[in-house]
Amino acid sequence: MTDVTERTSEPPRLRARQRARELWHSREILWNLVRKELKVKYTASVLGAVWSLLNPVVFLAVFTFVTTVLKGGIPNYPAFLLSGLLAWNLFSVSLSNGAQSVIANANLVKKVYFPREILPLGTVGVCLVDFVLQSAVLVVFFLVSGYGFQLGAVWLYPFAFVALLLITTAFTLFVSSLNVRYRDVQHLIGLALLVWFWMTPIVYGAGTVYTSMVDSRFGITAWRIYLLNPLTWVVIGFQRALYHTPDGLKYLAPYSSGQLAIGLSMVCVIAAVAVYLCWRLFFSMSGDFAEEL
Amino acid sequence: MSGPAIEVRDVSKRFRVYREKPTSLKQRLLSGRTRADDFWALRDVSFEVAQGGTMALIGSNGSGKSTMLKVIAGILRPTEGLCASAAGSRV
Repeated sequence: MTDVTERTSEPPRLRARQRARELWHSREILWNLVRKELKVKYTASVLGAVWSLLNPVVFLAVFTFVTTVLKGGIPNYPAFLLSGLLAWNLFSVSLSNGAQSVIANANLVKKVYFPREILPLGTVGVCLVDFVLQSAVLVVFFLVSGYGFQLGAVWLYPFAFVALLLITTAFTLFVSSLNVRYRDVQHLIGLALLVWFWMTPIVYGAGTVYTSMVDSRFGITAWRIYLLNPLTWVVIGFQRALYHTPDGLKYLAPYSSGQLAIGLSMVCVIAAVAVYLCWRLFFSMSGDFAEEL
Repeated sequence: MSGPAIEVRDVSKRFRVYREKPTSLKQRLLSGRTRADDFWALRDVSFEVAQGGTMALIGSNGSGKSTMLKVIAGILRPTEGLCASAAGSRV
């Protein structure tokens, strides 16, 4: 006899490799889910996927206008802002939509069997598509405006990207499983994301934070605590990779690309462990999803 | 192939019928224990389906046919007992 799937009264324990294989076999479901979500998102809208592109375009236009009028502050602000903001968008939209993912598909969960992980992973997938589209806008902007890329720094991009993806997956799995039992998680997320957004150096420069924190009476400790936020690493990674205005470098975190690469690698390792733990939690809770809904 | 395609051993399924279900953290924290009635949809069900075999579930409304199938399919978890299905079997 080959593999036997057993279901007992015990909450299921995750056997990662076996489960990963099952997920791999279900990749078509995942793919279809992502496609469906995208289709639903853009049906009956005249512009379709252009809406996704419009968001960063408007941001670029507005901030180019505002910063030329106001002057001062971080030079080339649109480039700076978008470097970090797109990463944040991927994270925050994944989280807030991911929290709903299992509930929104209650009918599926109650009627058919499929690996439940597909649902939150699908949300991350949809956000990833948006991220790619929006990044394309940013790349076009960089090339057209003559801002360009600096080869000496852009190699950091994949580090930041992998870290971002792992962190997003971990948190999305976590909130989607909790939200089935406690619906207030979705409201909590809205608030938490707002606080989190301002704790992450997206609209302001990490270098500014560093200077003022080191000068404060808490000194370097405050900065170290600030760095406990994993998204700070991701965002300063993206900024280091993409933003290279000479006058603006002092606004970035006071780390070289090499140091950031090491830091981001460590974040990746921790995030990978977090993905595993959240996956386990999700898996053990997913047995009861059909009943809870 | 040897072995049954589906094995159901002493499976029971209990649904909890909540008078009011705590759906938020606040309610959960405030009301220590929630009142719930037990409804046993399945009690100690055992059977086997051999490879290539056929089985019919017959019963009146609410006798637990669908619940049994959902347990086999993996949508619901049994409260007691064990349900095993060989890889590749589809419900």
